[in-house]
Amino acid sequence: MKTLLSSSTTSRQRTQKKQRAHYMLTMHLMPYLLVLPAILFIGVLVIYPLLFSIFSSVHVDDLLYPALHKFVGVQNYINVLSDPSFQIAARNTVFYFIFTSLGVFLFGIVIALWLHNLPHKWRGVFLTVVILPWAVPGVVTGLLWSFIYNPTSGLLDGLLKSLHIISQNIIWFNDPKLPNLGLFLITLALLWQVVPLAAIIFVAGLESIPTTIYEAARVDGCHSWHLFSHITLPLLRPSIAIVMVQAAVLSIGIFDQVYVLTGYDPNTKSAVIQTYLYAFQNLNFGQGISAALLVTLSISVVGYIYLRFIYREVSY
Amino acid sequence: MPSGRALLFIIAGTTITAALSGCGATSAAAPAYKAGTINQEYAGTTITVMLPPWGNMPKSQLAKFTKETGIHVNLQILAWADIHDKVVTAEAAHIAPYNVGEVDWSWVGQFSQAGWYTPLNNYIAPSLLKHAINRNIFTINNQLIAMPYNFGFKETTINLTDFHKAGITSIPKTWGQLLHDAQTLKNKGIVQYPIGFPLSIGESNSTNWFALVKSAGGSLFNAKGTPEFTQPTSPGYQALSFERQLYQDGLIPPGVVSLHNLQVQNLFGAGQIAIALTSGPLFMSSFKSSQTSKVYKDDLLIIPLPGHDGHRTGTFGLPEGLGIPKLSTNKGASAMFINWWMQAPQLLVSYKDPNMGNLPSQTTALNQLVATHQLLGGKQIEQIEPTVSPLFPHGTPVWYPQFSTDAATTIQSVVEGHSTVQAGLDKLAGEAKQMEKTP
Repeated sequence: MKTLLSSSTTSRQRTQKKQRAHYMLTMHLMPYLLVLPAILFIGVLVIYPLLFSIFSSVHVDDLLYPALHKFVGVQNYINVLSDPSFQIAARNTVFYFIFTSLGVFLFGIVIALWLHNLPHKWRGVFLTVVILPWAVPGVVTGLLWSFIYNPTSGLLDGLLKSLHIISQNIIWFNDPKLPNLGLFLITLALLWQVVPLAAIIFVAGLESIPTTIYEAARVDGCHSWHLFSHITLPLLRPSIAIVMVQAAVLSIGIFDQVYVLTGYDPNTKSAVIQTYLYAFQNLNFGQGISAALLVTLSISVVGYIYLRFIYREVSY
Repeated sequence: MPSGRALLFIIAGTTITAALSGCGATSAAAPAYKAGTINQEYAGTTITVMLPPWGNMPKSQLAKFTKETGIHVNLQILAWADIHDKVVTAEAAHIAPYNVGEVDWSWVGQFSQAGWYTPLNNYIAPSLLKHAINRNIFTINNQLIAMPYNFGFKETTINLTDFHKAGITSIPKTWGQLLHDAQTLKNKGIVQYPIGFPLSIGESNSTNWFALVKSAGGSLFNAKGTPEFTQPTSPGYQALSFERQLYQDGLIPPGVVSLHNLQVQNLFGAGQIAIALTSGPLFMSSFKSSQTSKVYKDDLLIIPLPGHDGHRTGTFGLPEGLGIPKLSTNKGASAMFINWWMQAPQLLVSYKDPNMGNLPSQTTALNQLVATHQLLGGKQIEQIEPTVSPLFPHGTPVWYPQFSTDAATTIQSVVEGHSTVQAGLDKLAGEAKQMEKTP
């Protein structure tokens, strides 16, 4: 009897042990199994190319002279950073970054406040209209603005002439009196595309702020400007951080609009245009990838700074 | 544009690998192809052909090829510059960008150095090789890396109706006459800006200067590769000075500093300029079309580039060819397609189709057009043909694309007065010497 009992207990214990082991295995393994597809996906499409790019950037990787393939350390980076063409392109890119960031923030907020204060029935309609430029691809944006800036038959010259503001066409991208005008005009084309997204993100942020906070502040005697600077702006910090990161990604990585509007013009070419020239004109992938990684690094640093210093958790 | 361009290279390579993995992969061990034959040997295979918009051979014509050979053609039309990038990306990933496709004259140096293309010497019928115009532009070290499918060269197109309105009765043969005629056209109010050529930073700007250098009987580099354009007496120096004078005298629209070639040709089609200084025969069909031109009823004339006073005029060829990448499978079927394209009926379709307009690259087809009076400006083209020579007699150098961009930047800067002719050309010569040293 004892033997039977002990044998049945042992068997139950074994089953329980098995079940526990299975449970523990499932509990421990399941999360990894669930994220495995995502890890594989990111590994294949992000990590591997990134590592491969870093590998290429420290080698001579010239399609014209494949036999010269060898490890050169950071020489490609030194070559890129000491290249006057890249320095000019980097300076232009800093211009795009600063003015796009400012424009996106200011215009985005203004449009968002306008949309937020619209009667509810109109908000949907105008939101749809405002978001349209964001849906237009970069190349199409470039083409569209090239019709506007065309120096012989452009809309802008035509408009200014019909208003008797100018008598002769202005060559927008080559005005010797205004050397930075081309950079500014390309920034404008980029803003036209990016501001809608910023406005939508800001609208979402504004709508999440409880109205009771404003009501309480008004009771305490706050005016509109105080409401904006002491309530709206601080509570919009998560949205501002996201918008600014977007602006940094799109302005530091600007390519399409510059390529279509001014091509390889040194006065307006961006760092990514120069990267393209290294890789696709000179067929020097080592140098091209080094330049691309420098651009990526710049975006990452700026993005980190924004998230570190602007982003704050907001809970109500 | 995504942040990491480098990632794009790799992702694009991977994507293209996946997309093209089936491209022509049906016959790993293709039977030997007898050059020039059209037969059913490769029936059932499909080849991918990639060309710019002016290579868009009508489907009905391609159907005839399929009927004759049993080979199916997947014709992909891409923007010219995009084809270059696709070839580079695919080759970097060690896959074929296409079975048969575009090879521009300006890519020859790089693509040949990289060893990406199959020498076609034994794939093309001897009779076709014999009659191919500009074949030498695609030949490096006796290897023909592409077969020209059009006869491209730089010429001048004038609106004779405007000339007559201004009382000009003779055709300009020298830069001096051209300048005089342009001033007459302007002074008589026929057009505000008589001459047009592109001055934006791009290939068409630099090739315009190269063409003027050739028209003055000069060259850019000597046989040793030393720049020949820095001396004030050199054709290169004088050509740039001439461009600068035309711009500063208000004889060309100031806006051309922002326009590329097609936009300048559109100015001619719109009647805003009377002289397209360095046009190409490809544009004539659009100038004569009521759908794309306002001057289609005018008397338009192709003339040789006016030469520098006292020099024999010349021009250079900028043809486009059909090539077969070494990584491409179905080389036999691809070669058969190229041989078929080079036959007179196809070349004539390629010329007459309003979306193509390619001047035939075979003397036989060209002569046929002249003899039957179907060639617009036939007499003049016949006259220009012997003066067409390669821009680089020893083969397009690998650094040509970079040199071309630097030349365009220099030209714009000089023409706008930001730099003197001497300073600009000295700087360009220095850059060219540096490029030649690398690696």
